[in-house]
Amino acid sequence: MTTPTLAYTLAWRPFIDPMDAHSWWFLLIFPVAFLISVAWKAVRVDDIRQLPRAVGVMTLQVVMAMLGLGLAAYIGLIVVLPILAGLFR
Amino acid sequence: MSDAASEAASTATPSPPPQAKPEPGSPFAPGPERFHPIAGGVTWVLPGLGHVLLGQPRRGAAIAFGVLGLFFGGLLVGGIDTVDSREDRLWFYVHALTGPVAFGADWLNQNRHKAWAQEVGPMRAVEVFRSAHAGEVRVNEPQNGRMPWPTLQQRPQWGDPDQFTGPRGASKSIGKVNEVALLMCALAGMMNVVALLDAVFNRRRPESQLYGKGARA
Repeated sequence: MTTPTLAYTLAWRPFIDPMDAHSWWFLLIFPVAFLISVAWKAVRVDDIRQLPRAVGVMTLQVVMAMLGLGLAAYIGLIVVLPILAGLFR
Repeated sequence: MSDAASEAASTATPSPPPQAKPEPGSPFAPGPERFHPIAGGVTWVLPGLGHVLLGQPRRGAAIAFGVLGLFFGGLLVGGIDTVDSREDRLWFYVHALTGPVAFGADWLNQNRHKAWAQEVGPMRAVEVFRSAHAGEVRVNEPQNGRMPWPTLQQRPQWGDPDQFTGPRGASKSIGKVNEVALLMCALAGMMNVVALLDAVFNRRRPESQLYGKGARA
């Protein structure tokens, strides 16, 4: 096989092949939170000139909430549960 | 604070909503109840178009950016295999809320990237219509005068003879990447429903009356 054909065959094609994001998929929270905020705030704000600020605030809220949930789950599973298991052992 | 005072404070006036609402005299105050079914219909056809028809192009552009950004973001992350009315039917019901763009992506997936393939069944070889497995390529042209159209072959490796000239099938979307991509396309559909309802029951003034030279005080 010639190299150009192999390069074509093995290359990632946007919108056709899945992105190789298996090691950093969690970072997709940022574009997802941003785009949800744009769509949601576009129908919620009364003055559309307030949209950028509202989108920024909501994006931050979503990301912080997800971080908080992750932290709570980590504390619950890694810290609290082992302590409880030790108490009832 | 005494009990009587606290009771009076709690019953006198309701607490203000978390987001400040425009006052009745404000140009941003909601107008009378209206019903715009056509605006809702075109919002399904193209997200944001209903608001453009109602004279709110900025809002429509923002909705289109958000909804279509989520949908095409999902396709970018998970590939065309994300939208699949055969293998992910329940997800597709939600994806379809985004509009014809979801049906177009599904058509492309079914007709340009999937393939019939021979698989060994319990009794005999059966033809299966499915996505490409990892390491497979789709061959759209007869190879060596024998290959039926379309079919799947093993992906060529280094050193293989260059006989795979047709387009590849899309790689199967799996794992967390597939979950995020499915979710993004589904969120696009759900956000489009929100935009559709907002267009159908829209009570806002056209933006030409709110901004620019023709704006009312």
